[in-house]
Amino acid sequence: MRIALIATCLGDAMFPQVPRATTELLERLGHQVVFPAGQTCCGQMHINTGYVREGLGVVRHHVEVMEQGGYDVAVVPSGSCTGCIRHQHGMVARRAGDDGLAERAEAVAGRTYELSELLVDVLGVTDVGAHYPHRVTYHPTCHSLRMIRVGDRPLQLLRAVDGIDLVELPGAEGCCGFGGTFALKNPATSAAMLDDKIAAVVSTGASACTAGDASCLMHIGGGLSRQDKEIRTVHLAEILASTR
Amino acid sequence: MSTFLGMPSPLRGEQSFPKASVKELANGQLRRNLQKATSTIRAKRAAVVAEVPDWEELRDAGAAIKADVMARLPELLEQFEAAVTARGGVVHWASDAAEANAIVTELVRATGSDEVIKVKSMATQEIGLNEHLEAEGIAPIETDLAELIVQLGHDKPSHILVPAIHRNRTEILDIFRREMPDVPADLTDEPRRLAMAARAHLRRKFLSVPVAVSGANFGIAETGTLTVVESEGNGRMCLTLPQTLITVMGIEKLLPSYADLEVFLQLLPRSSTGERMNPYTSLWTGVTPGDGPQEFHVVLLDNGRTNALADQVGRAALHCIRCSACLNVCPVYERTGGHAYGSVYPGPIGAVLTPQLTGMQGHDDPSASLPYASTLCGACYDVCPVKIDIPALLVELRARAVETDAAERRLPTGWAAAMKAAAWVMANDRRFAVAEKASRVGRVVARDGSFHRLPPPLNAWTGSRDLPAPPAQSFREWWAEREAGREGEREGGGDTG
Amino acid sequence: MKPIMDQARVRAAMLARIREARDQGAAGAVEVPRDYHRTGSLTPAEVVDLLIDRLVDYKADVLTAQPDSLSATVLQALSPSTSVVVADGLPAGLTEALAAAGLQVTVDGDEHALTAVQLDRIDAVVTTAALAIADNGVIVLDAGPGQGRRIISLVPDLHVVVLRRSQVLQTVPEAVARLVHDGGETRPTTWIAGPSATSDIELNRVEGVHGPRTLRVVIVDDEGDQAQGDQGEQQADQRQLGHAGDAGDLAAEHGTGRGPGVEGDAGPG
Repeated sequence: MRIALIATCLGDAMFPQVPRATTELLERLGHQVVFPAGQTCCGQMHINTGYVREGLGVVRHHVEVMEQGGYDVAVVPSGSCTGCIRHQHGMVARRAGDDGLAERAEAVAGRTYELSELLVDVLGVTDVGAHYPHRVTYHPTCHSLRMIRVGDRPLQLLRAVDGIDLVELPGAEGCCGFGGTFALKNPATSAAMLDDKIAAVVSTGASACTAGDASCLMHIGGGLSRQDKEIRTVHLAEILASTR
Repeated sequence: MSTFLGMPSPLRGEQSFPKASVKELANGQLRRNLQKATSTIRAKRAAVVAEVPDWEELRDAGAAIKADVMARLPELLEQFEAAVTARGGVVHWASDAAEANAIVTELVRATGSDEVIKVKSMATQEIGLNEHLEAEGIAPIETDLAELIVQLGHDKPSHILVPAIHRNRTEILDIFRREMPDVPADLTDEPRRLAMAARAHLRRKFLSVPVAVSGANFGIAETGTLTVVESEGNGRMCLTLPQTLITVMGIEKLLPSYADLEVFLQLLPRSSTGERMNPYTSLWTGVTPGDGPQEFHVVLLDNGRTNALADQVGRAALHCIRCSACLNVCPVYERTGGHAYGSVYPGPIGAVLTPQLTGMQGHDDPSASLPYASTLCGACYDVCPVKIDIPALLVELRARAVETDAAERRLPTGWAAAMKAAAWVMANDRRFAVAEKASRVGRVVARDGSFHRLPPPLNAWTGSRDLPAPPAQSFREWWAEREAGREGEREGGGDTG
Repeated sequence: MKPIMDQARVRAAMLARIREARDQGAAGAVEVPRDYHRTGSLTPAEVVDLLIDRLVDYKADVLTAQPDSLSATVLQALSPSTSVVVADGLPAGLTEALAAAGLQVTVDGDEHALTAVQLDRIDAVVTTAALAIADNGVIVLDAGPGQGRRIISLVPDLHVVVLRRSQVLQTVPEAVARLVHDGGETRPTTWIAGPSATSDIELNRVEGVHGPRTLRVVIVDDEGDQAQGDQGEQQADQRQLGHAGDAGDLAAEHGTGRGPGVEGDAGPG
């Protein structure tokens, strides 16, 4: 298949290893990855902070770029970006009175998948031939869990990784406290939630914490680093891309 | 419309949520109590909901019934009024808290009593009825154990369902010893002993006070029937023993027909206390000669509900049946407790209902900070028995707050200016690429690839977290380099473009 | 009753505001999907067993009886009360049997309506019920025959309910439909699911705050039915369930009928 990669603004600018790993993984599975060069951002930061009107231009740009085609499906290594594209782009357009854009956005969203959705549902694969001999715990991010409902697809993929020692995270379904700009507007509460998530991660004895959202991992990793924990954060794509 | 500058109101605190929450987060006792309480009720709720094979169908019906009520609210209210009146009740209309308080005071005065017994009612807390009655020389006596604890402790409720959850047993013993005139000398802090002390204290009042004030969980438009759902029996006491009963009910609490109770009497108990059914549910219509109060009044309360009703998206907040399931799953509420929200309606539903009831009057209005008191994790939406999409409502109210603020200001706030700039950058890939390059200039001050301390506003991040420095090469730069390399290899061959 | 404020004006303004708001936020007509279970799927015997399970779970005592052993069973349930209040309409002969057994029986009614203070001095109340719901253990009183005014089943500390097997329905929708069918929507109605309780102190559940602290349910076969689950005929089918062992234990555990394990209670009034 020709799979268009949406790197996400955070992945592009701060965590290039995530879209890079996604590329390597999909190419290893025999697919062609294309990178629509005009892409920037899904707009969720604006939409979720109350700057919905300002976010309209970002949404429109995303739709215009992805409408240019040249791919069969699009993949996003981020539950929150996928959720925004799928559940919020139409709302933003309608709210601005642009029903035409809303329909176009929904058409684009209809061919857009989060990474674990793409692998399990579209490509029909759970064993991607990965090798990652470490003790790992998985944090199901809130958008993955409740907005797009990936269910246990990421766990199916992780369980099939050769050499992995997967341990369950206590209280996994509890929010890590990132919440986008929440982390800046309500730093005390965000830190309190982060403390509990870190304690849970530490209690597993894992050397790595993984998730499907680089944003949450940035928050959890930032806390682990500040507390001098020897636990690294690694995106689901990076684990799945790893080989011997 | 309530003003907020310096005027306390049950719906508006003095501080914004970010400020108020700092103090609450530091209260270790509160956090422990809350964590234990919410996790216990969460587990109970999950267990009893799992027993119900048609739970999702019940939620669908509940959501639709409530949407139907909002769509037909004026007609249903008139139908309700006619039905109550036909059965000997009197219906009063109160557009705001002041009117409602005046009506209730007048009705109590007419009985000649200077005391009134109360069943827990969120609506009466919302309008500050107790404070108003006290100022008018009438003593309101809360009869719900938790409300009694809060009242005797001169305190404020911190949870819709278990208002005294911020108090442990030793604190409650102290409160009873200080404030209960007839407290047994040998009272201990064992919960059963405390409950029995409350029972004895209140029984005297139940048997003698001639007028009661209640709220209502539901009002049936078709028949004029009111419903109170409770656990302790104080509701039955207040609704049955006095000569006069006054019920204060928000206009949104209607259900169209009696049959609709078959949905809501399943949804409510399992969602709120995590029981198959609460111990007592009372239903009554107007006056029944010889049985219960012979004078019945219902006060219909607006107090800002029409603000929400006028909003196509926002009106979903009026579907709330006050079960508090959302409070019990909210990771923010679990840590900050109810007082941080500054409103008798805290937690997820409070964050979308309170700002609509009060209006959001600019950037400094504490109400305007409530829609931001959430990570949008969505746990509340999953448990709401009537499927209120609280995350979507929060996003909409955030947009409202920003747009209202922008319309009233000449100069944008720091946030607004930054967001506008970011949107301009992100709507164009060339600008985006330039901004990426520019952000790398910060790498020079990073230590070990991380920032440990950044100036405002990013100090909000680095207060408790490190921030990785931007990488030397962005993804698109890596991709372009890789493509150029491959292009070079393909030179002379076919183009796979 | 003199008018408060200018209610006509307030009412008109409020309704106008509500109409305006409703129109402004209009979403059109709403269809209500009713795909939830409207009826149950258990047999009548299973339905009663389910109810018993729920009653025991929330610490009500359960006794069973046949029509000819009903009086004896109710007396057992009332033990060791010395006074009881009833309403007109109890099963034939029951009121007389209670009096004959030496209990001080007061019949509450229009001509003789007890005050709250008088009721507070009576140990127990016996009523029938409108119906019961097995799924959630609810017993519904709707002021019908044998049930009386609400106050009589509220103030005394022991409430004995006489329930016929045929009155037990499985689901809430069936119960609501039955109440509507029987014209009960505007009657004062109480749904009872256990003795009263509070969890307001550290979420520690305390049973018996206000309202009767002991609830005992006597489930009696309908007239003409064979005893359910019994072989042959027995004179008195007095199977006793609940958390007590046998009749003697039942009385001893509940002491004065004011609820288990209560010490230092100041007593009523």
